[in-house]
Amino acid sequence: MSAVIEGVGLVKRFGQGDAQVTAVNGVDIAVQSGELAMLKGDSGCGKTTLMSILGCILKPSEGKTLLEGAEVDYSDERVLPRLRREKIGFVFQMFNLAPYLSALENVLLALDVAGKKGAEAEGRAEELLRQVGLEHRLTHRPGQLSGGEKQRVSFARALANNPKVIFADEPTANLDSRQSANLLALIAELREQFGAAVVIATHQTALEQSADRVIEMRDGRIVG
Amino acid sequence: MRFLWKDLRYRRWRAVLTVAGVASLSMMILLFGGIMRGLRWQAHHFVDSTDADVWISRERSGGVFVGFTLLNSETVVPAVSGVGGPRILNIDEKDGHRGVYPFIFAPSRPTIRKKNMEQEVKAVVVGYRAGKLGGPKRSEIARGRMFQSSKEYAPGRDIPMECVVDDSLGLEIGELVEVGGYELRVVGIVEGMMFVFDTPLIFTDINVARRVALEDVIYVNTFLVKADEEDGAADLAGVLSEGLLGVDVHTTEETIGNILKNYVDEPMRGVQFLRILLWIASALIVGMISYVTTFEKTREIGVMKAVGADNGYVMRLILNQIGLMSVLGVLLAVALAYAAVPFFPIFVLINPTEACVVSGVSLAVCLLGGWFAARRAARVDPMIAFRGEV
Repeated sequence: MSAVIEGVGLVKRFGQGDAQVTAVNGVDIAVQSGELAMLKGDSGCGKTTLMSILGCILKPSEGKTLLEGAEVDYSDERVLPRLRREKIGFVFQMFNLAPYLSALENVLLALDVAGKKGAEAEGRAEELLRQVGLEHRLTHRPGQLSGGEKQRVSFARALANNPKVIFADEPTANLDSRQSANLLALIAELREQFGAAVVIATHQTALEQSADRVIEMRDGRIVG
Repeated sequence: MRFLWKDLRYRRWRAVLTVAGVASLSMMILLFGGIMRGLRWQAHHFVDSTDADVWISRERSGGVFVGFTLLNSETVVPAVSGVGGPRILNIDEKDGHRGVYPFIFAPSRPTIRKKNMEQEVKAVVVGYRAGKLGGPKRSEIARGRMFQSSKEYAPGRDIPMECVVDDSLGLEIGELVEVGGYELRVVGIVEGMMFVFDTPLIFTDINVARRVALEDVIYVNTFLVKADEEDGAADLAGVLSEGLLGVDVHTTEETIGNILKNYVDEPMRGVQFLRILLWIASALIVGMISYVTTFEKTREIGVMKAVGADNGYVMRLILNQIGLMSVLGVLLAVALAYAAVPFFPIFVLINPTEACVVSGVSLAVCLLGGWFAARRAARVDPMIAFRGEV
């Protein structure tokens, strides 16, 4: 397996002077294609910051990121959105679905951002929602869906543009244990099906057994 | 468009308020413009209806519509005929006057007398000779007949005290109008003959007008002249101006220009300024509502950017939304303005060109207002997607 995404010597500092905080402190990390990696650690340990850097959202203070072997140019603001829509998917803790759009339209929005429209895009969105088991919820809005269903829509949205890697930030934090288990089973299934690497940031140790690899973070460093 | 409509429906009351705000302000801008256009139309309509090419008034008086002018008809008519002779159209040659006509234009407060009712109104008494320059022709009388006209200009002649009035006065044939202590019987009605600010006109014989408005003196306000078609009004005005002493000579075009300057352009400067303020208010309304909406949607926009939307996509999304609301507001404004015209207390004239121009400017200022909100949206940090719920 080759590394789909790799961070080398990543450092991220916020603030200046005495108020400066180092959220990520010299992290080297590589995630292989198709791998399910669990990024574990307490709240505030730097998991989300690290994912944001690897996800081409946040520019690191030091270090570099390689996406499919090519270094990410954080200085070019036109490149980062393109990388995010073509190679990266995101799943957020609070689902972050547009409340006025149906499940289908939330997935379509990600396709629209990538310039995919019309019947083909609609077919793709329907197919993705069918694959996450929501073919009967296409026209439901987020307010009409359970937490588990919302997170499935989030995964469908993340998969919309065939990403190479999906970053999921505490995806089970707002789900009960049954919904969490179902979601993890779905993630495993989708990973097999789509071949995308999945990085899940969590502080829930119960999820460790589903991962290929557990990466533990503490105070901005990888400790295990 | 699908997402745009859904978003607008979700935030429909805000969208309705924005559309209503743009519509009401744009409607006011259109109506203010319509009032000014109406005044211009009325000035043109009346002055053109006199059929005169040249207007002679007392030197430096400002002319009959703007200032106050009195001229002696016994001295001016022969003088004008002598100077402008061959250049004046001989429409009245059989009377020996070579197309030079006295004219009275006297703003007044007549009392109209109807059955069981008396009411003082605002009007202008217009004195001229029936069938000559200065007022409606017989063919323009909508109801009734033309007033009887005197054959000579000399005051004190015994002529019937008759008048033709604009229908806006609400008078019927046979009813009376009292002006300067004299009663004039209405014998004819004309339609749409008003001076600026919806001032109705009372047309009567030159000698009757002289009696009721000028105490039967030999003076009149001004003289109207019809130019020979070959020479034109400007040439004739130049010749008369050089040949006559103590008078100002203006073409009809200049006379209309003076009316517009005095009655429309100068008083309406404030209205023009108000129109600009209303446009600024439109931009502010759209800008503020869009800004607040964008602020409310910060996380939603952040998520959009996190999943790959670039700044252009976000700005297009916001500007399309603002553009759609503005277009709806402007279309509503045009429809409302046209619908309001018949119920407006004064004459308002909106034409399609002005409606298009006002709509275009309104749309542009609304988009300008919304552009700031769109720029703010484009600057949203996608990191916000990790920080909480949309």
